[in-house]
Amino acid sequence: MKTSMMKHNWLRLLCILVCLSFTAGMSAGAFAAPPDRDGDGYDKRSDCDDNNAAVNPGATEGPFGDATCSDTWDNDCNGLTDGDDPQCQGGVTCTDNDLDGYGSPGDPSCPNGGATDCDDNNAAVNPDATEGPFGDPTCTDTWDNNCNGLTDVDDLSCQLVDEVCNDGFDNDGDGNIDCADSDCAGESACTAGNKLTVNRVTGTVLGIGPDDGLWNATAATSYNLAWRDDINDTCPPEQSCSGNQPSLTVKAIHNGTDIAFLMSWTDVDQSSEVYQPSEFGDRAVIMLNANRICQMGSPTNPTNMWFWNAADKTQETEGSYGSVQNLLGGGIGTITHTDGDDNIQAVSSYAGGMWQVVMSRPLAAIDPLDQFEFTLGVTTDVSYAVYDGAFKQRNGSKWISGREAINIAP
Amino acid sequence: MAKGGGGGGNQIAMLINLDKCLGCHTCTVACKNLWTNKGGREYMYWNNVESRPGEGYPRNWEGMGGGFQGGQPDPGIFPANSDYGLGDQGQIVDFDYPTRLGHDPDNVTPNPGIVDADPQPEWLSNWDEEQGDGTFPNSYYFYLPRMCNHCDRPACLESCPRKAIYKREEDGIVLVDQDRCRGYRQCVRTCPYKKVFFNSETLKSEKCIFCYPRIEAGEATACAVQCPGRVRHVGFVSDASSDVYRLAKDLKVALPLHPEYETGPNVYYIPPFSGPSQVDSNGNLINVERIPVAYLRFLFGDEVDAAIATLRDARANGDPDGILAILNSNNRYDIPQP
Repeated sequence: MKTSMMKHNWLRLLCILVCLSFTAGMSAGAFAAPPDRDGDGYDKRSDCDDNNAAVNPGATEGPFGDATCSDTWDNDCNGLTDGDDPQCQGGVTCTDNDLDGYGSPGDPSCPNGGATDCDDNNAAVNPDATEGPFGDPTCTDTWDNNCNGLTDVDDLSCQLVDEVCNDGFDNDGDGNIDCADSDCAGESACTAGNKLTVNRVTGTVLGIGPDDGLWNATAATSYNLAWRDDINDTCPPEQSCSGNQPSLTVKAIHNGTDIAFLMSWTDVDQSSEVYQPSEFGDRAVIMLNANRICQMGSPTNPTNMWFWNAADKTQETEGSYGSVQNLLGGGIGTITHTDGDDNIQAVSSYAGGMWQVVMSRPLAAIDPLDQFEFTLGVTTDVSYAVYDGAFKQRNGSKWISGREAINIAP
Repeated sequence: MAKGGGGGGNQIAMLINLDKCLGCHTCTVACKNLWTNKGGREYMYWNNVESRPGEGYPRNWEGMGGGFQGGQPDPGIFPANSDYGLGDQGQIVDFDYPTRLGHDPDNVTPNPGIVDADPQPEWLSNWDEEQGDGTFPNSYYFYLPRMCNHCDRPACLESCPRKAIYKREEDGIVLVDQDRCRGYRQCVRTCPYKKVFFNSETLKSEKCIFCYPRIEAGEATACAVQCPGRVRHVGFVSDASSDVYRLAKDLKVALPLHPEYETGPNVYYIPPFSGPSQVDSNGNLINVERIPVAYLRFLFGDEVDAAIATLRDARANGDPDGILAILNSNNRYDIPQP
């Protein structure tokens, strides 16, 4: 019995050895597994795209809004691609009232992506809309069309970039620099002999009037003024607002500490009292750091204006008319009355159909952020404007010079 | 920013029940004492009460344009000083109070004059008081309190080249930023209700501020609180649970003044609907409206017919919608508390 058992065990061992031999031969030969071509751990038996490592049964497709839901691949090899895959169907939560493809709040399920629509009740306003260029209706529609937080003229894309005629740069991008640009034709920076030199004098300059003897030895520079009416409805259709073209001359002097400008211009009607809603005072403006003068400067390069109004009684002195304000302008509609009135003085007279207004100030600004700071020996751009109150001229309706230059003598 | 500078959709509004207004001008006095009694504002009436039919204040303001036509702005015209009763040089007309009040018994005249005016004024606020229209015994008039409408699309705001006018996000109140205003007065022209006034002392424009400091403190406007007739309700017309919304937007019994100006006014009026009808030569009531509906249509548009019908139905049939209950309520203000 024992011999028989041993015999059976021997046969069993033999059988196991044969079986092991057979199995080893199979793995090394005719029954080998297919290769994993994309190296993602899955061969073609389970990988539905063995040429794309991002696609295999272990990959994830979704959730809704994920890039895997819009890559045209069946990432998780469940036979359903992108939006057909339930894992990509997270539900459309986009609220798009104006149907422009953008929601508020922004939502990836919106047709044009997840950016926020800043006015979801206006299809003309969304992050991909265009605002500008200058002159386009989108610059005057009171909407922030492109949702960049800046409306109309506040948006740089709506601002006209003027050529600055003496800075050595092609500011307006037309390929012409400074005086080579036809935009600079007639500008004093490009016209020999028309530049106003602010000569140094000895004596008091601050607070002087038009009759002060210091003006006698100072040459006057004449300017051609052009009519502008930027506010279309300022003038009723039946009325001409331009009146008569004023003849303007300017003198300027400094004494090393203070500077004074004398503006003299023709105006047949004195308007220095405002009694009615329809009455306006005569006004005059000196714009310093003049740039983009039709736009009143730019947000990054504001102009500084000394704005004299014959009807403004707030700082009027005896024997004179009007008061002057210190303004900053960084684009149309941005003019702001800032600190700084206190160091500008205005003394004026009206006689024989002519205004004479002296505006004077220390060369040093109260604050360079509020006022232009004069530097001896340096040329700067300046522009002038006058308003005839009898013709209801105000705001954009005025007579203006070009962008002129003054040289502050050392 | 939404068209017209509109805010976040929150809009406070005034509802004025013309059926109860007794023409006492207490609202005007309250406003004037609080805001416009000095500093170049003496001639301004941010709130005034007009007898209608009449020319109002400034005189013939409805003929001065402004607002929008077919969505396009109408530039309007300036009122003249004489339309406000101001002198040619801005003199403010005042009464001869010592004489008029009998303080000077030696100088009492039956018709005490107006002093400090040369020439004598031809118009003032309330100049045509209770003149009305019609022929005795069927003559008629009613009172129309007026103030800035704090419009949905303020023509003043859109026309301001200085961006000095803004509409508050939190309550839709329209304000003139006095620091930004430069006195170009486009708003004076373009407001079709002529409720922006020019201050010739400050050279800036001013208007009703809907008593915003009071609103921010949870208080109603001075004109509303002081009204002895309790004709004014204040609430957010943007809030569907408010009484103002219910009467103006839901039941449409309160209507804006001159909706054809296209500015979306936010002062709503219950039209005068419960006065007596006309009488015949024997003094018997006849079935003819004393206040012609055509005139009410001129003020409030064609919807006034349905509004009056609804109001009369409420009175005749037990007020099923609670309209009269709201109008007679002592709880007339729905203003968030700070």
